[in-house]
Amino acid sequence: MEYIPVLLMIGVAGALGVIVLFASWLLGPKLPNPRKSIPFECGVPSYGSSKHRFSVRFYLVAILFLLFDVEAIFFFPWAVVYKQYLSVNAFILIEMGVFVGILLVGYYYVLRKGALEWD
Amino acid sequence: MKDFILLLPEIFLGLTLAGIIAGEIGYYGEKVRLITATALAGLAGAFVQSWAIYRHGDALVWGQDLSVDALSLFFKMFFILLAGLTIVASIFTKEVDSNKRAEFCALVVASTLAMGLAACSADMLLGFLVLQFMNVVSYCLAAYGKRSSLSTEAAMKHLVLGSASSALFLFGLALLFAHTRTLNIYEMHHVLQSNPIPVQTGLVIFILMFSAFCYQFGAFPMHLASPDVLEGSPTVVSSFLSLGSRVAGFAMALRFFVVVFAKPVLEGGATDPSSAQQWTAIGGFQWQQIVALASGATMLVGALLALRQSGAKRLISYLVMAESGFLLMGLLVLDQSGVAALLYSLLIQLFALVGAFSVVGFLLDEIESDRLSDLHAALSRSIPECISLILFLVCLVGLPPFPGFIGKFVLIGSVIHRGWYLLAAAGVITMAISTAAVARLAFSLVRNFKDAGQFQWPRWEPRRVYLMALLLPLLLIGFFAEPLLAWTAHSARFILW
Repeated sequence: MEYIPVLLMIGVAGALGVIVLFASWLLGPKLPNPRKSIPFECGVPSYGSSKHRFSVRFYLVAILFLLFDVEAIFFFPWAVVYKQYLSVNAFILIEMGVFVGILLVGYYYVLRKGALEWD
Repeated sequence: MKDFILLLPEIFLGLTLAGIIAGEIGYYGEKVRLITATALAGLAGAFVQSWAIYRHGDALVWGQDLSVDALSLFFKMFFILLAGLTIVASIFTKEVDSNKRAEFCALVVASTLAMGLAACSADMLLGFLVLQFMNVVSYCLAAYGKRSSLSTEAAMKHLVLGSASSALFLFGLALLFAHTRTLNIYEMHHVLQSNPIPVQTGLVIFILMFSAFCYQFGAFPMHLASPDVLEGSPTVVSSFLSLGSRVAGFAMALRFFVVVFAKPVLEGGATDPSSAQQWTAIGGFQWQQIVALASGATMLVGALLALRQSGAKRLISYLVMAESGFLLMGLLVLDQSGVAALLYSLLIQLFALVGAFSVVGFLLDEIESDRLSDLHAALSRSIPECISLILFLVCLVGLPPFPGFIGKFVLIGSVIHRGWYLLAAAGVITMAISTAAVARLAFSLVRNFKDAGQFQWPRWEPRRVYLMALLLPLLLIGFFAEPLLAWTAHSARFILW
């Protein structure tokens, strides 16, 4: 019962999007022109094909970001209980130090293998 | 302290892995051979430690999450031996470049660590994590032939279907957790005894988790990607995956299904559950029939498709699938003799499959083809390799009087003893069809024997010594079948309830 406003919101948002698109199609002029149909490149005329190969380095950077981002996410629950456990002893700090240390070894491996080199 | 001592093989393997990775970023050129030596030394050390702990009693360590018992130690020693044989095989093959061997050793040791943990995990979340660790490393290994599109295709298929199977696993585990409120399999068993799961829910949980395990061991109905993965990967990786991840799946499935979905049959007033020679299924539904169906279908599908193959590597991959069907028989009979037969068959498959894949790898290096129509060219160049390939495959399919026959005999015998006659008949038919498939391969090898040219005594090359070193244990396993069966029956002890 409490979720009916959420359902209404989803319905209104969806309907609004559909209405705007439909109105644009209905009311807009239809005068296609070859120059109007080309992709917009900030006013610069486009040349060549857009289908070209991307460097695999983008993928490597994305994957490495993912790994270190997951490491960062693990910091959050640790931070929530940090103060409570620090009052007992320093073990919680040492434990996180070990965790970060293992990942730093991984980072050093990545640097030495040249995975973040762009050339 | 006791926990650390009992987990010494894992700690040692972890340190070996760290040493290999440190060596990989530190050493170049000639010093790379030190890294291979480090890996082999680390594996040897872990093997010795596992053997030393084997004589110790059974124990639950790490807050009851890991069960260090005879069964898990058997599997750990199996995986360590497999890793050692794989690393040695990689030295002889051109598929693993010598300056990439350090990375290869690191991946193999990492996978071995994961498999060893999979064999002893008693907590299903830990089991899931190590299964994923093992699978992700196997995706990397399958893609190792970077210049080959087949290898990339194999890795993609393995990744996509592996992820799907892990989703099934988690879904089943989540449902089980929702009922039992625990992830430890021993506690799950106690909860299910006092508060049985509704039959429909139990059936859904079983099917989900069994399907996930079926992918792991390449069994019907999740068998589709397995031959592609084994064919596309570099040959040393095929031998490692065909034994490593498959057997790790069996180890985990054995512990999970017997502890959660079965209970001991205590005879003669016995009270100790670990003394029970057989177990009986619980859960309210006949899950053994589902396993029997999967087993029979896997055996027949594997053998029939192996008969149709025109490539040696793919033919062996389908034979591997048929063997998984046989091993499932050991799981479904739910008694110690069945498990002992399963472990004995695994020992035979270890040497037979590593040997068979090694020879196919050598043939691929020599004649650059594994098509059956091209194999006749191999005979004149390498008679010992061809003969040993035939011997390895004959041991695998279980032709008498070779060792594989004893394993199959005991497996089929235990299945007949428990009344699964149709399954036993399917097993015998599978053996016949597999033999025909191996005969096709053998005839392709020796077909043009007359054109082989003048006979020359084979020279003792290192890879031939390696093949003899694989054949010898196979023959010994056949000669000393009874003591080995007794040892595997002893190893079938695992901490029960």
